[in-house]
Amino acid sequence: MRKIGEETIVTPIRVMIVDDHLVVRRGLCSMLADAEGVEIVGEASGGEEALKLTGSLCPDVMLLDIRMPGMNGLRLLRCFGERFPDLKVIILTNYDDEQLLLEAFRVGAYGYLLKNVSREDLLDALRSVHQGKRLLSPDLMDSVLNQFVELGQKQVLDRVGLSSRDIDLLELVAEGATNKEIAERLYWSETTVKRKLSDVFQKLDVSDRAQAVAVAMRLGLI
Amino acid sequence: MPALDSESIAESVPESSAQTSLEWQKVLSLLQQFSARALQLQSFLLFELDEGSAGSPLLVLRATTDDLPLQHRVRLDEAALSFLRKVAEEPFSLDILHPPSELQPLALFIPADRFASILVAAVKHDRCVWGYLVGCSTQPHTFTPLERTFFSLFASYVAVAVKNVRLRAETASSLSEAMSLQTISSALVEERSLDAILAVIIDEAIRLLQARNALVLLLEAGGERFRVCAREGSGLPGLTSGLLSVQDSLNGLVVTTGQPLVSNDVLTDPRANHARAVHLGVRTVAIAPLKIRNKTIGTIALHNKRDGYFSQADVEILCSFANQAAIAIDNARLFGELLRARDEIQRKAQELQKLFVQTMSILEDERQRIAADMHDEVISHIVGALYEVETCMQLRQDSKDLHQHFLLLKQLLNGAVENTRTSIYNLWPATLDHMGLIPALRELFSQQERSSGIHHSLHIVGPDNDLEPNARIAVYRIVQEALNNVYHHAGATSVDTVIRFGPRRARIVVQDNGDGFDVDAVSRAPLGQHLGLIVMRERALSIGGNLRVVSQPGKGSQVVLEVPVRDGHIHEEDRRRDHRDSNSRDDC
Repeated sequence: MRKIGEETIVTPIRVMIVDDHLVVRRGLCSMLADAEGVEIVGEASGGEEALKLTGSLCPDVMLLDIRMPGMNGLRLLRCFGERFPDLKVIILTNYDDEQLLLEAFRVGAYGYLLKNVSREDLLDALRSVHQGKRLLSPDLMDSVLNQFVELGQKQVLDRVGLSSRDIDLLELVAEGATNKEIAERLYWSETTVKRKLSDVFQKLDVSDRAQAVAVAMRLGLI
Repeated sequence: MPALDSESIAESVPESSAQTSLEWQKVLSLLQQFSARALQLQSFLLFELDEGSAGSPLLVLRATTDDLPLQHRVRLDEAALSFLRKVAEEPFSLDILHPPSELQPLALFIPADRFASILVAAVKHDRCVWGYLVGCSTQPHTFTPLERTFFSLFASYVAVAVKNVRLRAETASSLSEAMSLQTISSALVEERSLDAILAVIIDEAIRLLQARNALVLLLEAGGERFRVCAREGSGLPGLTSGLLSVQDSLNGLVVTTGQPLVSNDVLTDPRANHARAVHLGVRTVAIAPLKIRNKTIGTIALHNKRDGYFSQADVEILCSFANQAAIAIDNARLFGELLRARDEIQRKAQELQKLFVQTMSILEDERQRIAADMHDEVISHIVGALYEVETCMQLRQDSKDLHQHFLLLKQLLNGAVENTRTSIYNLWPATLDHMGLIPALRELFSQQERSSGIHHSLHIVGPDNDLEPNARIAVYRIVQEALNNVYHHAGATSVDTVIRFGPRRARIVVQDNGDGFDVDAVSRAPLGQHLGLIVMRERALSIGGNLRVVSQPGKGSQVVLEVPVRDGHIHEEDRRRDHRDSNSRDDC
């Protein structure tokens, strides 16, 4: 505990570091050693060790690497499940892989940062996650937003009952392709193209190609 | 005197006759019927003058009305020859009990205990002496000029008959020869194996030349030994295959001289290998060289003529037969070599394909390992260094100069992290392991779009059946190479990729709107150029798929890849199992 100013008493954030590389753990410790309101309460070099220590160390925030020998970071997160409801986990990784990132949030991570984060950004991250805010490495924001666009599209698709194949079809219609060209591009017969088109018209509640394209564009499907 | 004309003699010769000596026998029997009364001659002998054999001329007994052995032949000396030349002009009679010395060779054939006197006349056609007709009387007799003229007339009948018989025989022989050559030619087309060709050659040679046996002797490399090729059951026990030495043999002589050879008395022929001849029971032999492009590759040897001796005509027939046979043997050998070469090439191609698969597998494993190492070790160390720099900056906030240097150091280290990440991505797309083919391709496409400025689109048609891990990386690399080609060569502004998953196959089409190219010209280009395309094709083959490139100048290009997908059912099982694993709490 530490006094800041005259009145406010702030409890430092208890931070635990889980990473298989000593050089990373040591670097993080020394970088955060003097940081205000942050206290490194312990470290672990792998998932199994972290699982053993978490209960006794009672960290508020965990900086967790994904790729580690033995139990990796994501499996550790799955193991935590509901066991430590107050623990906030920030994934600190070298993987700038959006799919991995989404998976991490799915299994309960609060933040996702790349390891070459600056001291300042890391401290900000620790504080906001501690306050219950989720956060994301700015470098990764772009690709995640793309994913959301796709996800959003999928939701609309589910709502109107269109398949991704129907979207392929609509895109080609929008390009002005004839039934024959569509058949060639999608490896269907022309009869199939006609049948699918009339299905799509029905689902979008339109009667011709132009309307179908207009509706699809308005819904952000193409 | 009964009517006797050449027609009636000739007519008495059966059409189908092939063995001329038997026909002459009939001619002589006919003569005997007429002459017994007119000339009191009881027996007739017909000799053929064989001028063509090597060395001095031979007199060969061809036919007789008595049961004398036909395999008689005698070499003529100068005295006998000059006597016979006289006979050519005028028939000649003599007292067989006291023959002049120059007639000893002729008298040898005539049993002196049965006959007292003989009449000899030349058998001529076209002024050429073919042989001699000998009439024998049991009584000592001096023949009158009229009787001699009669006998001369008989001889001329015989000559006509002989001529007819010969013509027939020659026609039959030419036909037979033509048929044999035809058989060889057919075998050449129909039979591909050397053994089959050799069997046909041997059978035809035996038939054509009326021999007991035939052997084909092919020179081994080095030319010191023959490989023997004979027919099973052709009367040469123990010699249907094996090796014979070339030296000191008649066959060797034929190889050395390149000329055919006849020996009608092998056992006394100084050039022959007598031990071998005795062992094989060879009495008469005709040998012709097998020549290809003026090079002797071996010989064909015929043993033991059925009705006597090999003539010069036989040798000529054998030579033309041998020429054809040599071509057949050469072709069969070349064909055999071709087959072996083809098998070898196929085997090598399979080995290469296997090697290629292994190399690719090793390459990808190695790339994956290096990528993982760089990720774990290199980046972690740079990151560790970055953290230390941050710490230093905290500790020395007082010095502005130092702060600048620390900032620069941070930038350098961050740059190193970025570069390393790109290298890692290029080495191995980690998304492929984590999320599968389609997300990895999406990532690849967006990266390519950013770096190339070419519009990339990806359509997935059908249920997203994933592929085997090795197929996954192969498809990824093929698409990556296709995109690289579009970027470097196509001059395209957009590239559309459609992946259609069927129940058994996935079909991936990468289509660009670029310049296109002449596919045939590229596939004809020397090996080493367009290696990328070859590797793409080989990778497709290695996972049981295939790859086609369709393009025309000015019309863009299309890479079509088809690969087998995992059985949908199995795939579902895997997915469920993976899901169970990922949710498993066994390790908690």
